[in-house]
Amino acid sequence: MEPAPATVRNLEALEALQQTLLKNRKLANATIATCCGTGCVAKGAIDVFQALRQEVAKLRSAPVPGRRDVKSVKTLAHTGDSQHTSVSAAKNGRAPVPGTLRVVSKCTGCHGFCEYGPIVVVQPHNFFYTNVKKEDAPEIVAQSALEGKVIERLLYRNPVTRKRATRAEDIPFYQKQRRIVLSHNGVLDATDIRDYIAAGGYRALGKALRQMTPEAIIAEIENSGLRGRGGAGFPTGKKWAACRQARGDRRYVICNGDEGDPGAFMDRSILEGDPHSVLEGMIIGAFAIGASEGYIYVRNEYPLAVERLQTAIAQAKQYGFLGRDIFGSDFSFSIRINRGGGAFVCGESTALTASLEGRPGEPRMKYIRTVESGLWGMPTTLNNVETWANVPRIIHQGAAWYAAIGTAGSKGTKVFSLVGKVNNTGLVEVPMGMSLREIIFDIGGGVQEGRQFKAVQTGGPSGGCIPAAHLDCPVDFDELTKLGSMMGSGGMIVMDEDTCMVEVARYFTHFLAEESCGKCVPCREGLSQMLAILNRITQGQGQPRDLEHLEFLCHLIQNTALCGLGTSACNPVLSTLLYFRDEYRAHVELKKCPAGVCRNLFRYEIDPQRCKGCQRCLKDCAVGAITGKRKMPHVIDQQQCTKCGACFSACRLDAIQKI
Amino acid sequence: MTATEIQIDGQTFPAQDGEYVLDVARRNGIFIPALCAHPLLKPYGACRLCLVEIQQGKRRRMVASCAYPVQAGLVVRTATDKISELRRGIVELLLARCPDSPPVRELARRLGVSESRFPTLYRAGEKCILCGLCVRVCHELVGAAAISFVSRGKERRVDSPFALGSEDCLGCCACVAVCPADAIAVRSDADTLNLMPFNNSVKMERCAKCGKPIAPLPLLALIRSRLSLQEPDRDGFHSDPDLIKEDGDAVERVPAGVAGAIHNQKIAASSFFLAKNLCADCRLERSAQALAAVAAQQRRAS
Ligand SMILES: Cc1cc2nc3c(=O)[nH]c(=O)nc-3n(C[C@H](O)[C@H](O)[C@H](O)COP(=O)(O)O)c2cc1C
Ligand code: SF4
Ligand code: SF4
Ligand code: FES
Repeated sequence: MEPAPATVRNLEALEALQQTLLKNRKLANATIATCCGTGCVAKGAIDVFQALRQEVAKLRSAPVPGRRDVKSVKTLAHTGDSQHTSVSAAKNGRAPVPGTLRVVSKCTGCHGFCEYGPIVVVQPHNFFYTNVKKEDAPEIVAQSALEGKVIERLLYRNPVTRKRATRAEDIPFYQKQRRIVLSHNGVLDATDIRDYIAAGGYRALGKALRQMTPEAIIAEIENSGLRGRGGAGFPTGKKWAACRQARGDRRYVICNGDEGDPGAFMDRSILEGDPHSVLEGMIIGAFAIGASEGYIYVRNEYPLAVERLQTAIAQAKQYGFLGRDIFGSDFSFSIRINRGGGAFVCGESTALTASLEGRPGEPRMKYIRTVESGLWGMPTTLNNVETWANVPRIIHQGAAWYAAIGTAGSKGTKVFSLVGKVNNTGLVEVPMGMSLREIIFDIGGGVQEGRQFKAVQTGGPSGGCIPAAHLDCPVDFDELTKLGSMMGSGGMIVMDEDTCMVEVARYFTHFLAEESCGKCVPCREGLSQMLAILNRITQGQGQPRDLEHLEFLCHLIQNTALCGLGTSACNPVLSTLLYFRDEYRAHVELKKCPAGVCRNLFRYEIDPQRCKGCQRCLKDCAVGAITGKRKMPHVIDQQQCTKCGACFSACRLDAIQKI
Repeated sequence: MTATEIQIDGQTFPAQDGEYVLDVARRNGIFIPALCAHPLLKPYGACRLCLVEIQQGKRRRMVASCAYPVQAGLVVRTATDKISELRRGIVELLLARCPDSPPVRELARRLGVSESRFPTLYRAGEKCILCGLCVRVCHELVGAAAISFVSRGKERRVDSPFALGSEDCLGCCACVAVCPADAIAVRSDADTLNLMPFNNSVKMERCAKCGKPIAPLPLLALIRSRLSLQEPDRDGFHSDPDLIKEDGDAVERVPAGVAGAIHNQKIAASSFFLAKNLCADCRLERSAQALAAVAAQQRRAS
C-alpha cells in the first residue's frame, strides 16, 4: 500500500518515505511506461496508453492464460489521473504472495526520440519499443510484461546496420547523450510525486533547508559554473548573489517557461515530464535569495504543462515542500502559475515581468537590473526552466561533480531540440563541449536521404547559421558566440545542400520583424527595411548596394535596439553574409538561386540528351507546361511553368535540371 | 537626494541621485537629440536617438541617456563618430517612415542627414513617430488610459481599444498637446469633440444660456468630482449655497477678498463663480451683471 501523503518534516522522514516507495516499486513484476510527451501524443500515445491500461485492468479479473500458478493478477495503476489501485497481497510492504503478479502501467514525459514515437518501455527488462500502436497492447502485456519476452518487431532498427536494439542504451541516438536534466523523462510518472520521491526527489531541498545556509547554497551554485539556459548564459550563482544582496521588502523568483522559439520543446518537455525538479529548484533558489513567492510563466500554448504543474504544486503542498515551514524549517514559499502573453518577445525578462504585472508585454530598459528592481519593483531572480531543473541536481551531487562536466567556460549539459534535415530529430542532452558534428552525425544520424550537410542554425530564430567548416566547434556559450551564432535556449536546425541561405535569412528576419514589439525605432523600422531588401533579393530584384545596406542596418540595430530581440535579430543575416556571401551575390548580381529554392531565380529545363520521352513529367505537370512526343525529348514552356517541381520529382532519369 | 558628479564630454557637472544622464546634459546645454523623453514622464527609451557612450572602469557601452541613472564617477561621451553614425542611421529610418514630418526633418537637418537611403514602407503621409508621449501622458499623468499601443512590429500604432473609440477618454486633449509630430487631429462639432485617428468621441457641455459647446462633459464631470461639486441644475446654476464655505474646497479657489464680499453681500455666490456650464461670453455677461449688482448694493449701503 502506498503511504498516504503527509507533511515531511525532516530528512530522516524523507529517507524513510523514499525507502517505502522504492520497496513498493520493486514489488512490481513489470512496469509498462508509455511516453506521453508532445511528439508521442501527436502520434497516438494516449490511445496506446489507454489500451495498455485496459489490458492491465483485464488481468485483475481474468487469470493469465497458460499460467495456472497465477491465482490473481493485480494492477497498480500509476495512471495519468493518478488513481492507485493497491494490492491487498502486498499490503504494508510485505512481499507479494507467490503467484501474485503486479503490473504497473504509467505514462511518462518525453524520451526525446519523438521521430520513433509512440514509445513504450517495459521494465525491468528495459525493452524499448518504438512506433507502438494501440493494437500492440495485448501482446506487450502478455508477452513482455508477464513473460519477459521481447517483441522483435517493435524494437528500433538501426537504418545503417539493420540491427535491432533491445534497450535505449543500444541506440546510437542515446549512446553519446548524457542525461542529467532529462534523466527523469521517460522514467517517472510526472503526475505522481511519489515516483519523484522514490527517485531521490526533494532530497536536495531537504539538504539545502536543513544543512546549508543560503550563502552556502549560492556558493555551491556559483562553484558549479551553472550558466542560464534561457539565452544569454548569465552565471546563475552571480545572479542569485546580487538578488540576495539587493535591498527590498519582498523578493521574488520567476521561472521563465515562455519558450517562444518556434520548433523548440526543451522546456515544455521538462515541465511536462519532470515538473517537480523545476519546483524543487525554485524552492531552493527562493530559500537562497530570501524570496517568499514564486511565479512560473508558462507559454499559453502549453496547457498540458500547466496542468502538470498544477498537479505537482498541489502534491508538493501535501508533502509540505511548498507552503509554510517547509521541511520543518521556518521558511515559507508559494508558487503561482501564469499563462504567457503569446508573443515571442514576452520571453524577454522585462517584458515577462511587465506581463506578470498585468501590463502589455513590452521590454523596458534594464539599466537598473531585475535582480534589484524586477517584479513590482522588488528584487527578482528570473531563470529559465532548464536552469531551475539543474539546481536540485547540483545541490544533491555537489558543485565539483557538476563542474567536472563540460568546458572551461560552460559547465554541465545542455538540452537541444534537434530538428530540420537530420535523420533523428528530437530532444538531446549532451555535455557542454561536444562538437556540433557529434551531435548532428552521431546522435542525429546525419543528414536525411544522404544529402550534403550545409549549415546548422543554433540558438533559435535569432541564432546564426554555422557552415560545415566549423562543424568541429564545441557547444559552448562563448565558442558559438565567436562564430556569430549563440547557444540561445537550445534550438538546433540542420540544413542540407538544397537549402537557400538567403531564403533562410529572409525567413528568420520575417519572423523577427513580425515578433518585434515595435517599441524602439531601430528594431521596428530597421528589421522591416531588412526584410524588404531580403524579399527583393529572393524575388530577383536585388540591387547593387543591397548587401552594403543590409550590413549597415545590422550594425545599426545591433548597437542601438532596446532589448535582446533587436540586438540579436541580425545574427541570421550577418552569419549568412559571412559564410555564404557567394549565394547572396549570385542572387543579386546573376539573379540566380544556386540552391534552386527562390522561384524567380531558376528554371526547370529538360536535358534532351537524357530525356527518353517517357512522359512521366508531362503527366504530372498540373498546368500542362510540358510538351513532347513519346520517346522524343520533352520541353518545358517557361511561360507556363509555375516551378512547382512536380516534374523534377517525377523524372527517374535525372533529365530535369534546375538552372 | 544626494549630490554627486558626473563627467560629460570631458567636463564635470554636478548631478542629483535619481536624475538621468539626459537631464544633466540638457541642464548644461549639451545637445543630445531625444524624441521620446519628457520631463514629466518616466523614461521610455524608444527612439534611441539619445544614445551616448558610457565608461565604467575599462568597459564602454552604448546606453540611452534618457534612462541611464546618474552614478558617481560616471564618464559619458555624447558625440563620438560612432554615436553620430548611429544617430544618423536612426534618423534615416524615421525619415523613411515619415518623410514629411517637420520635427523629423528638422532633426535630420541638425544631424546632417538630407535624405534617407531607405524607402517608405508605410502609407504616404504617416505622421506618427511612435514616440509614445501621448500614450504615456494619458496613462501616467491624466490617468485615463484611453489610448494604448496596439499590434506589433511595423503594424504598431496608437489607438483606442479595437479602434472603436475609448469610453475612458476625457477629451482633455493632453495627447494632442504633447504630440511633437502633430499626428493627432481634433475635430469638433456642435455636440462632440473627436480625436482622430483614435475615434475617441466625447460629448460637449453646451452653454446653458446660448447653447454653444463649452468643454468636454467627462472632463467637467471629473473636475466637479475632484472639487466635490454637485452637478449644476437645469439653468446652469449651483443651487446649494452651502457650497461656499470658508473651509471648503470651493472657497479655496475663490480669492479671499471676493469671497468675503460675497459673504457680506449675501449674493448667490454659487451662481457667480461656479456656474461651470456657461460659455465664455455668457459668463462674462453674467459676471458683469453680478459685479454691477454688488456695486449697486454697496452704493445703496453707503
Ligand atoms: C526576445 C527574447 C526572447 C526570450 N525568450 C525566452 C524564453 O522563451 N525563455 C527563456 O527562458 N528565456 C528567454 N529569453 C531570455 C530571458 O530574457 C532571460 O535572459 C532568461 O530567462 C534568464 O534566465 P537564465 O539566466 O536562466 O537563462 C528571451 C530573451 C529575449 C531577448
Ligand atoms: S528591440 Fe525590438 S522587441 Fe526589443 S524593444 Fe525594441 S522593438 Fe521591441
Ligand atoms: S501620436 Fe504623437 S505623441 Fe503619440 S506616439 Fe505618435 S507622434 Fe508620439
Ligand atoms: S529620448 Fe531616449 S530613447 Fe528616446
